[in-house]
Amino acid sequence: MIEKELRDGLRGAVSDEPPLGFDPDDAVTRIGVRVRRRRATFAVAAAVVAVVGGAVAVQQSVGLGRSGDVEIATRPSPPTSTTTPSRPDFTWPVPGLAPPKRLSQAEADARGRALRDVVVPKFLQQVKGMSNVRAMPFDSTTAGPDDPGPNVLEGGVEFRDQEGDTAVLVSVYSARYAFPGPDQECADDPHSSVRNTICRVDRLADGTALVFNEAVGKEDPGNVIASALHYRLDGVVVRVTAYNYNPTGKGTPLQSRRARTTMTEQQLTAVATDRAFTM
Amino acid sequence: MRSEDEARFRDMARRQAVPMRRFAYLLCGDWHLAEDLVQNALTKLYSAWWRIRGAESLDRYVRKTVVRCWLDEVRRPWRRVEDRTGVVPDVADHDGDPAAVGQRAQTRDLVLRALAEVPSRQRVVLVLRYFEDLSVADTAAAMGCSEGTVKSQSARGLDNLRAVIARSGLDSSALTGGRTES
Repeated sequence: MIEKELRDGLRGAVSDEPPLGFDPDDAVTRIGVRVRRRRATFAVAAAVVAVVGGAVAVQQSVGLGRSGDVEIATRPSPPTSTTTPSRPDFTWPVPGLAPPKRLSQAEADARGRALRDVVVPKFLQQVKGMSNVRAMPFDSTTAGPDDPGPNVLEGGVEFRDQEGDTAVLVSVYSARYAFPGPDQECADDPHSSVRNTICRVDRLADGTALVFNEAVGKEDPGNVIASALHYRLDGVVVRVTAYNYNPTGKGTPLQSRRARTTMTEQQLTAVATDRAFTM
Repeated sequence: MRSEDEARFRDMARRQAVPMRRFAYLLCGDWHLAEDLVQNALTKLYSAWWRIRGAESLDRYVRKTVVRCWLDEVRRPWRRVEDRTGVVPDVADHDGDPAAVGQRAQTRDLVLRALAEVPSRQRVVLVLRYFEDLSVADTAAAMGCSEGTVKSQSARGLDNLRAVIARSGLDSSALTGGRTES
């Protein structure tokens, strides 16, 4: 029976485990320091925001302009807030949007197959001169703790350029998943293995938002990743990511790296905003 | 965190680090990444310790946190399709019977390679059910999903395992012919 073999195989796979590479006591000490430091930083940041907000409010209430002249207040000042959205023209999540019906696994798999059918033609519309172009299967998975899913379809295109094999990955997030907003996407994440070098948020003519993001590896800054994320008014987010190396690895540790990622910002944007990619 | 809470957390970390790493390894197939996952999970558990310290099902919470860390990891685009099947280590087996050693090594290698190609949530279900020996209900609790989802993902995972083995042309004699448990 496959179940018995699977049990035996799993037990055997860990029977000769190497010694633990870290000391749990040291790890707890480090974690404690890090968590306390993070809480202290948040507390300081909140206090700074409150002080700055308060100062602005006081300045406005007495009518002190940039020139330093005092204006006579002729009407009450509007209420002020201590925080200001950095993208006041784009609100995420989309206000008043009802979450769509939950897809069954079979429905999600069917949508995944539909994406697999279109991903190569859409890629070839943008990128020419590649060989061995193949669609990768779009797996349906679940993101986030709040939705039982499936709420994400992830797949892409494998191909070969002058440097060798590589891939472009496409993720389509359903509106059921609370995808982080554009500003959050651009914020520095200390736990991430990459560091943003470019992150720009643009509002498109149809009211949607586009984030273009380029990042380098923290451990190996020679690895470059570029993504376009399209935030749509139906709550769907599409992320298309290109690399200057082969993200699928295929077990080859030494990979040739390109001078830049395999797709430009314009090409990534064209694919990410294509309505054929939806869930 | 108060000192007695920190002492209890430290005790939990000492007891759980190795089992957590084993569990994480079976999810990701890489001992180094498994250690990263364990440390990420410990960080999350530390932050939530005030809430979970008295929980009866602490083991379940620990496993659930490792699963979350792993699923977060695979959602990163540059991680998602990394091929980790090349890192199955050649390890010494201390059993004296060469035939049994060979058979075990073959089964282990086959399972790890096949498991690496099964979608991540199905892999989580298979490891929870067949390594941790959790019931359907406990697996559902650890994953935060319904029991029906566990059953379907388990059946689908086993089917995928068979398909991967058949497709890859590996020696599948040890893993053929079985049916899914209900």
